[in-house]
Amino acid sequence: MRYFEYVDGDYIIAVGTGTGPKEIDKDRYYKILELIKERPTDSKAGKYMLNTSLKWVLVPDEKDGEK
Amino acid sequence: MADVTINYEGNTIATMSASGTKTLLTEGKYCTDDIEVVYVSPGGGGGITYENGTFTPVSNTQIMTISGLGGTPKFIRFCVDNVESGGFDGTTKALYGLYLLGATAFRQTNNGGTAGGNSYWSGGSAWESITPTVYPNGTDASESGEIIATTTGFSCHAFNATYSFKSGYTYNWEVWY
Repeated sequence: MRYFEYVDGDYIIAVGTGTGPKEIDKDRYYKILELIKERPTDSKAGKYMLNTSLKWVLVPDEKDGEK
Repeated sequence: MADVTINYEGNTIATMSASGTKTLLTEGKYCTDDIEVVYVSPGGGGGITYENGTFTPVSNTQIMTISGLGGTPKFIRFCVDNVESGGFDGTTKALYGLYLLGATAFRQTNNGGTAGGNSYWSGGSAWESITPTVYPNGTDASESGEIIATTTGFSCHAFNATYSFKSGYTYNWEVWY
């Protein structure tokens, strides 16, 4: 089995098996799955995203007119 | 059917299948035109190759893109693991999508609202699809024929599927090429 992660900038957006953009080892794959199951609930302040260091980061929502 | 043809001055001088070696006997000869190598058909001379895998989004996302396949997909299917908990769309039903590249038309029928029912629909500009839906609890007859997955794109060695993919659920995908 081959394991992969999908990364957008500093954040992991998904993991998968079979094929994918960036191969990872089995331990990292299952660690990310575990983290996804424990994902913090998004709030009005923003959305939780998982960075490549496997830390949840609260990213404020973009508002109209902001980048 | 050959996968690759090699042409010279408008004539095919060699063909290749999924594997093997051909030697062009050019020693001591003078070419008066270019040699053209044409990729004709993917997939090992008419055979079909299967690949599968999974996709688990970190956050809710609208698109699943699978790239790096061994060939350009002809058929795609994807479904969610935990159907009994309504994983695919947050309600009580799950989706098994079979997407056919290059088909001409399909018809939509009543899925009956029972487990194993089917709905067929056509749509999209570059592709058509069959989307059999499965209702684990058999009570969702009012939603017969609902189109669940909205768009799916294909490209060389990749495909994408657009839907409300939910964080924490694992979506299984399968392709044939």
